[in-house]
Amino acid sequence: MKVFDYLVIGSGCAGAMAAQTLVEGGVQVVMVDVGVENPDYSTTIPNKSFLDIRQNEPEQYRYFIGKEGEGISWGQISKGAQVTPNRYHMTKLVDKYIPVQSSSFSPLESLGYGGLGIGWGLQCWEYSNEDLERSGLDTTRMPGAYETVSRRIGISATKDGASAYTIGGLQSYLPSAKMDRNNQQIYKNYQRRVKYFKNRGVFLGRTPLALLTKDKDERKAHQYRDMDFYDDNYQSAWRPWITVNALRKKPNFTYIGSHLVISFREVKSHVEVRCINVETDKLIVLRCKRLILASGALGTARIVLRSLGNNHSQLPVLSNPHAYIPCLQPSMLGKGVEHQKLGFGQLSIFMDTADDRRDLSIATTYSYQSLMMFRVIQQIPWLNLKEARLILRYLMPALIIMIAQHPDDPSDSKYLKLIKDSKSPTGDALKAHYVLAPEVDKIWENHEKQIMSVMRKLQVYPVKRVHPGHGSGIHYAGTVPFSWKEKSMTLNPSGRINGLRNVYVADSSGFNYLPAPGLTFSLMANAHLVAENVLKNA
Amino acid sequence: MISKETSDNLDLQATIFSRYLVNKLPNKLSRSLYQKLVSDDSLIVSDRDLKLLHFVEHNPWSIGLVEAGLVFVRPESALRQRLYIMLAILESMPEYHKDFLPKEASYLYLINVVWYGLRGFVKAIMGIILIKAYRL
Repeated sequence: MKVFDYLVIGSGCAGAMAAQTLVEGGVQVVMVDVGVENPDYSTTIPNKSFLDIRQNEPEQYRYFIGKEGEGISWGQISKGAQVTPNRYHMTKLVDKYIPVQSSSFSPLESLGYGGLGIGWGLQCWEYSNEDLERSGLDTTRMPGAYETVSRRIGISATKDGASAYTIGGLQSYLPSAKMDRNNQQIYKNYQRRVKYFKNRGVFLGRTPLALLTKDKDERKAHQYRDMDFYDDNYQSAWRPWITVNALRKKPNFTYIGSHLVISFREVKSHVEVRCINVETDKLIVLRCKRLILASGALGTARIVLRSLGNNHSQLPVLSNPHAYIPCLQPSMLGKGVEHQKLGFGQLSIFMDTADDRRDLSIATTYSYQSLMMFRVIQQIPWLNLKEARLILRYLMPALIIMIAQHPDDPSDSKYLKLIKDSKSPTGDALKAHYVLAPEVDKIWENHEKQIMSVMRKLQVYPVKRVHPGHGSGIHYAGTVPFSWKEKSMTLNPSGRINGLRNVYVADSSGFNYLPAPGLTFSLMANAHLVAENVLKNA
Repeated sequence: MISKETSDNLDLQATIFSRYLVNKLPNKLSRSLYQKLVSDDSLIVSDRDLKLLHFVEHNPWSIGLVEAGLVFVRPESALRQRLYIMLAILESMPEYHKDFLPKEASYLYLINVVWYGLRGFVKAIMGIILIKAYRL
């Protein structure tokens, strides 16, 4: 009977960071993952700029609309609106193996190689001390963990008027990438009236990104090709699979793909882990001395509910409420194509009107060019496609998509449970219920109105506000929360599941609060700390 | 009962839609892609939708009016969804990149923007009348 030393579940941001810490600690690590890859598209996209491709590549339809047209989506903006055909494999097999039933919550999950990190927007905000404390994270060790993660993945950032909100005390970072002209103009407009904005609790700064602006090992600095939504050529953007690929070259790391972990059972000397092989649908049992769950907050919730719950068990869930706000910046009208451009979000606006760093909202700005006209043309109201095309050609250089995000606290009206589902090979589905209290909804609506008012003062004019539904913001946490008490299905501060000796959770499941700035940097730092705790407790 | 669509119908639709959207004939690849994507599409085309499609196949001049009218009376119609598919296909062909990439122009172009908006509105009124008159 083979018993592995350390078993990490999942190859996403948390799994990659936890595994790297364990491997660097010198122990034998096995990663179990479904790991869907993309054999169709991964080598299709040439190393050319967006403009060059648009002008000259006859096969461009393969990655812009998908060879089966899968990138053409009719209807309202929904979850994963920014995901392009080249990255669709991140959601392959999800409906079959990890179905969700809900009328109020519409999450995006991944069984891909690299998890949700495949399509991550690279934003790496540090949580403030207040946010760390409310989330239940270790305020003394997290700053060091942020440094470790930043050195590993390469973060580009700028110290500016908002760096207290963006990078906090982070020391290890590269210079930010060059902003596109839309963002440059917003930045300039903000700087002109910086006192006015700061007095009103509005802080605007460069968004820290997991993006290289200098070469690092085999990865190259960003090339400004404006193909960031489509490819990972040059690997300047960090994706979890980059780390996992590097780990697979190490002698003390083994990767087992095509396996979905269903549940675990702690026995005397080891942990038994039940998995389903997604190629054969056969069940197998793996054994390990220590198990580290990093399947994402929803994936971990399923595994914990199956392993420790009963028919009535339910777990809390957190997810950032959010809205898309398309805007126009008139000074950019008719500017034509921008040749050298970065596609990622580049500016962050923090609304801290109470000036207490509590419950602040954040908005990030994206210039719209490489996502193609067809994705946005349906949003033009009351106009046929021909006239809409003619108008959009002029408006597109001035089009900015803002994403506003708000924090989330646990409540009785947000929970997950497992229900029977005979169609799924696992025999169950996750039932999600997510309803915000009307007074909370009102607060976020006011914040969004304030953000829109700030944009107008920055000479950027919001056109409308779109709420694509709860859960579609792709940030999930709080399903197996940190607790000082030995409560079932909670974590102790070291990340170990209370009541168990050898099962840990390294993803965002433990967070007791979900601040507005994206959680990815913090969940990676936490994953590193959990892995350190596992090594320490061995 | 309205006859079902053949590949000839789809080819004709591709041509009419392309001429309408970008004033150009579709290239071979976009015609075959349109056929493939529309045939694979799970969209259920009702008899009413088929009637509408046959109408524009026989009266290609009407496509601009019908589509503009549909925006108000049946925005989810199969005709608009297929036009949208054709638009996405054309946008991803190098031959038509100039029709979709941002246009460099002065603020005076705003006059054109207003004109396109008004033209779209007038077309919509005429389209609604046409749709009602022919019971499309």
